[in-house]
Amino acid sequence: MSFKEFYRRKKSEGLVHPTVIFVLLNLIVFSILGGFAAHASSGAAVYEQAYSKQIALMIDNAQPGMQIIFNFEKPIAIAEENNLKKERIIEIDNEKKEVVVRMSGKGGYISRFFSDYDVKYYFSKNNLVIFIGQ
Amino acid sequence: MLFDEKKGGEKVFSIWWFFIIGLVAVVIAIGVYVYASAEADARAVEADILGDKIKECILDSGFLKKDVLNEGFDVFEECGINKGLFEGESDFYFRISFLQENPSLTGYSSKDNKWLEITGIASLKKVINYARENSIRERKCSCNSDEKCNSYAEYIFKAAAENGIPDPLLLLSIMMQESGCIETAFSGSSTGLMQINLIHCGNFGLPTDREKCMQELIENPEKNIAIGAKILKKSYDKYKNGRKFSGACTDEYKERFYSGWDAAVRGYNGWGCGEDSNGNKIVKQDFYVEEVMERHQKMKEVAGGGISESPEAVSKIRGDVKGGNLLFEKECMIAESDSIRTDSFPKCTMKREPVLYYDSGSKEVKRAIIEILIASNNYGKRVSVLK
Repeated sequence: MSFKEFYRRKKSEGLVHPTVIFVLLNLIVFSILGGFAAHASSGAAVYEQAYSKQIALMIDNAQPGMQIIFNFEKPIAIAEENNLKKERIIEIDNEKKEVVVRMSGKGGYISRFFSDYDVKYYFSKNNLVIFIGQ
Repeated sequence: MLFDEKKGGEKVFSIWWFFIIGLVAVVIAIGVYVYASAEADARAVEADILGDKIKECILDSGFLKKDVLNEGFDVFEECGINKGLFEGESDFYFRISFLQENPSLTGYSSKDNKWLEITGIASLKKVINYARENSIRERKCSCNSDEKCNSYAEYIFKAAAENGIPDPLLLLSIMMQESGCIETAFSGSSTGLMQINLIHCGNFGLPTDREKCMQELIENPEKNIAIGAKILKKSYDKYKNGRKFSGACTDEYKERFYSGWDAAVRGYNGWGCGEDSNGNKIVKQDFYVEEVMERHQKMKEVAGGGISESPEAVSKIRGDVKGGNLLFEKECMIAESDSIRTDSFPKCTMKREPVLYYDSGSKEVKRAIIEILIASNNYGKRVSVLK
């Protein structure tokens, strides 16, 4: 049976073959679910935690006078997707010894560091520059 | 319609289809939630960093800093650690113990986790006395009086301790190889017990004038040994990661690769092939490292060396320095003994390091072990609202 015949035959029944639609709908539904899973697992929540912990560990591992340059392309891209300004992505609290990283407007992740340094930071293009003071 | 029965009689979209799709969606959503909310556990890394930080700040080239042994020593201030995070129910804990080794033991092998036997002054004297009468790997120690031999042992012990040479016997082995413990030994370019090359005149506190320099290297055996130790340590620092002996006299040795203290000894003797006054290659220089190291091994046997299984045989130089959540100390012990590794237990790390310290009481440099227990239960937290 040729495709034309198949199509004509189904047309004659009033609808495209229901099985084809069934398969297509299944594909669409599972694609949406898969897309959701992929998006959620590579989204802000996961990166917030990873970046705040890494920054806290780097501060603890550093010596006074060091300058750490951190590639922040990914967090900036995620933050922009979530309409968050670059400057709001990171906050380092020298009193509480906390690194706060947020990539969406809904919260963020706080990691603590134990080193008693005066930490300063600024953005240079897509890099985060952290300066470890005394 | 899609929901109608087909010609064959079955439905394409039934309630079951929606149910299965719904089930899959719920499973995926739960999976994503679990993944996204799982804590990345960096506690072990953090404990390690804290341990290294403490270790680095209380040590200076293998020596305990002087102030560390004072009761007023403030580890937080000295090490740049925020005291506030270590108060009350803190997420951190550390305990520094200062252990004096048993006088019959000499060092701690972190690799084997065992104490190594003595090479203290008493053992050095024992080996030197033995070598006065007997050859050890074809060399004797020809110091000609008890007084002189004993003073060499003391100089060697001190020089090894001050330069971070783990076993003074290695220094003695080199000294026997170089001069046979003869103070006045002179080879044309090298002088004294450790055969210090005259190119070093002007350095290490030696006079620039060649004659005066040579005289000092002969008349001051303590200085000669101290300079030898310094050169050996410098060689260790430079070559410890390894180097091929491509400048050897023989093809066999050109392929040899030395690392660690073997490389340090090689560097002490030189990486090239020397020539005598007639222009002939001094082939025996190729075997220098092997001879020194074999003698060193034999010396350990003479000293009664070996490995002891008694790591508890220690006393404390001073009280422990502690900070943080004291409950963690017990939890670390439970976790270690019962192999419990639940999230409610902190991640614990133990660091041990052989060190030297100056004992102001006896005015001697002594060996000790610092033991640092560190625990971290610092997880970080997700917050839903931020200012």
